[in-house]
Amino acid sequence: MLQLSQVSKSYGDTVVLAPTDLQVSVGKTIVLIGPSGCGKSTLLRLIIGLVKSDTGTITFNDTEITSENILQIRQRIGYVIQEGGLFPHLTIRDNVVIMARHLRRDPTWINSRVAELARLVRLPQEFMNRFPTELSGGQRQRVSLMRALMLDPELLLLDEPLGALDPMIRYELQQELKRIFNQLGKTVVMVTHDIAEAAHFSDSLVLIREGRVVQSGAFKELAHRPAEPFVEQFITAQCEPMEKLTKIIR
Amino acid sequence: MTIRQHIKIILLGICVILYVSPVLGDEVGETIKIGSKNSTESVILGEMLSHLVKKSGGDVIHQKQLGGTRVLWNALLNGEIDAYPEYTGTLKHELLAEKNLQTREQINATLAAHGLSMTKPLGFNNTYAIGMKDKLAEELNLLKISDLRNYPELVLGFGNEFMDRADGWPGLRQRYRLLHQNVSGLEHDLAYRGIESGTLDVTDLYATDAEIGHYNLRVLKDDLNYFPIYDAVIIYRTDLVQKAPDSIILFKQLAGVIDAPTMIGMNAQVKLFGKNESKVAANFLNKNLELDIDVQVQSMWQRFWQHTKEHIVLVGISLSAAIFLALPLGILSARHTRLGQIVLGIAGIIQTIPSLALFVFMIPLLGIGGPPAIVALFLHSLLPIIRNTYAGLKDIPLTVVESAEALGLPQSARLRIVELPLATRAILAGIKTSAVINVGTATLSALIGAGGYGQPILTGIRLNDIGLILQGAIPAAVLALLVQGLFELIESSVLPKGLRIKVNEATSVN
Repeated sequence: MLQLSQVSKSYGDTVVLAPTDLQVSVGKTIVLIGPSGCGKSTLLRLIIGLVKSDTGTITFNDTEITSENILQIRQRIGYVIQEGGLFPHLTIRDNVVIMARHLRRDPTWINSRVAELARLVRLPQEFMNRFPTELSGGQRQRVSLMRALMLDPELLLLDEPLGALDPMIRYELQQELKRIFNQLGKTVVMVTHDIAEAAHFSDSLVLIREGRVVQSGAFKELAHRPAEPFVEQFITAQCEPMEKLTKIIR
Repeated sequence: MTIRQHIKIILLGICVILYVSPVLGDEVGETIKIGSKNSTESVILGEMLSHLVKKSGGDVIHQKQLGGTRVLWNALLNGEIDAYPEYTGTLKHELLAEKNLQTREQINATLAAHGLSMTKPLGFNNTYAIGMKDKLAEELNLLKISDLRNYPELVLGFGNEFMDRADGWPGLRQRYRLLHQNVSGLEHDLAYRGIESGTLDVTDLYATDAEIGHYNLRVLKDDLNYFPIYDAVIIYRTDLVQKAPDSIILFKQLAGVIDAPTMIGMNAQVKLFGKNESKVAANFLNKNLELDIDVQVQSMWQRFWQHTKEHIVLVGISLSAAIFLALPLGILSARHTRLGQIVLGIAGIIQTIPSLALFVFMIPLLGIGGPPAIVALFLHSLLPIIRNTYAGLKDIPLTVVESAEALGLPQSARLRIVELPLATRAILAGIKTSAVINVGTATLSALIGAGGYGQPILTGIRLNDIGLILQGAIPAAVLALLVQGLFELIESSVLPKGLRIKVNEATSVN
């Protein structure tokens, strides 16, 4: 459903993303993981067209994404970022329906869709008339997901959607998101630097370092057959502290 | 109410203001326009001309106390005014100095080449003069400037300009071979006080200054004919002979009837005794030309209302035009950074031009009166709005801008639904700044004949009348507050509710 071939991006002499190939199949969840500044977010931004690639092509459902069709294609992709990116001057409802209203969708359909999504992300109806500043960080991310899902997109792009939340809320939302993805059967590309989160969500992991894909595959595969020492280091660095904690608890 | 409805209401308001505009509308028919300089004497003479035009059955406008000889001269050449009082010395030594004219015939010929004519001298010579306390002059038996040679111990104080001018003190000392050592330069108006207090004995004067009589000064005779002659005349556009032949006949009757003591007396009535220029002028005409002119002086409220209307029109039109241009320019600047730098640079340069200079620059293009003032005010209102629009749009967090983009909203919709509402506060702050500056600067437009609250301020400064100055300054300040209040009101209705919520009021439940 989504295919990147030889997509690259540089700013001056700095290579942000070396020529990269990536395939995402329908209904799968791909997690892009790697240290900060490795180019994983840039990859997501290239897909949604916020960044223009220097080389290569991106194909969405057999259509190459160009500057002419990007507006239409964006309507078929949901995008959620770390801080939510909600519009502070609009109510929660207006944030969620902004695009549907712009496309002049039927108001009755809009209303029922908002109610349905609010149930899905477990936000009370009365929150719909509040403003983003009146919500907590976790609630805002739920709204951001509602907005991304409003037009029932074929693909969801999530850029560290839980990165700004405290651990309790983060854990709670991880479970929720997993439930929602399973329930809806969406194709998802997610960016995170948290290996546990990556393992939790992914059908397949793509580990990126300094703009280059180091290894891709299931978490087990990376853990057991690391392609380079870095893969092992990256996993160990996050897993070892956890193991120590687990030992203390037992 | 939506933002669009608000904009409609504002537009409607502007249309109403334009409709009632008294400043912009071109006068219908043959209205004769008289000009005068920013001096009491010139205003009195201008009032006389206005009375004479009316007496001959014409419609007349008197553009009082315009800012400077050049403004009047250019306005006359361009047909913005038809006539104004001038001095032969100014024509010879300033306006037509490069022609090196000597005789009246030569001046007449040069004026004719410009399509202008002048009357014969009105009868007084408002040149520089040398004066001293009458009592002291009597004691020392001083009648002529030559007599000063016998008293080198006298203390001399001259206006700064007179000290420096070639035709001032240096030449005077040479011509009369004066040996005085105790000579100082000071402010012209202060010289009168110095004389009065006895710290100065001798000073320079303008021959028809009202203060001469007031302070009991004696003007010493220029027996060696040192000072150039500044005979008062009326200069007018020659086409006035066809347009208003009867007025010209009356203008010519002024020749030779205003002698120096009479002019000094009239200046004194206005400047020292607070009489109305128009009445003083009418009294003179009634007495000397045996006319029967009845002057209706506007009441304070009538004048206030007229100045208010003029001021609101100046501000209303220039500010609305500035908003309509500066807002798109600000948006454009935020979109295209390099173009933005150019736009902001140009607006910045315009802003550094002093307001008064900007007004004067507009005169060759648009003449005098409302239009050049409005254009100048418009230009000076641009920068705050452009810059704040630019800053307001640039300050929107990138995550918000990109979220709108990632949703698939086209650029125009992003601007309308997301970016402009988020920049509302900054944009309105820019408009408020412009509005306050505009109301204040508009007081200067009286100098180019556009009226407004600047008119009483200008007259008040000329007559040293604080009350009159306040009649302009206080309403201008109140208007500035009102305009600002109006935009506060607009802000409270167009500012999105979400931006008015303070974060600490927000319920924060995880």
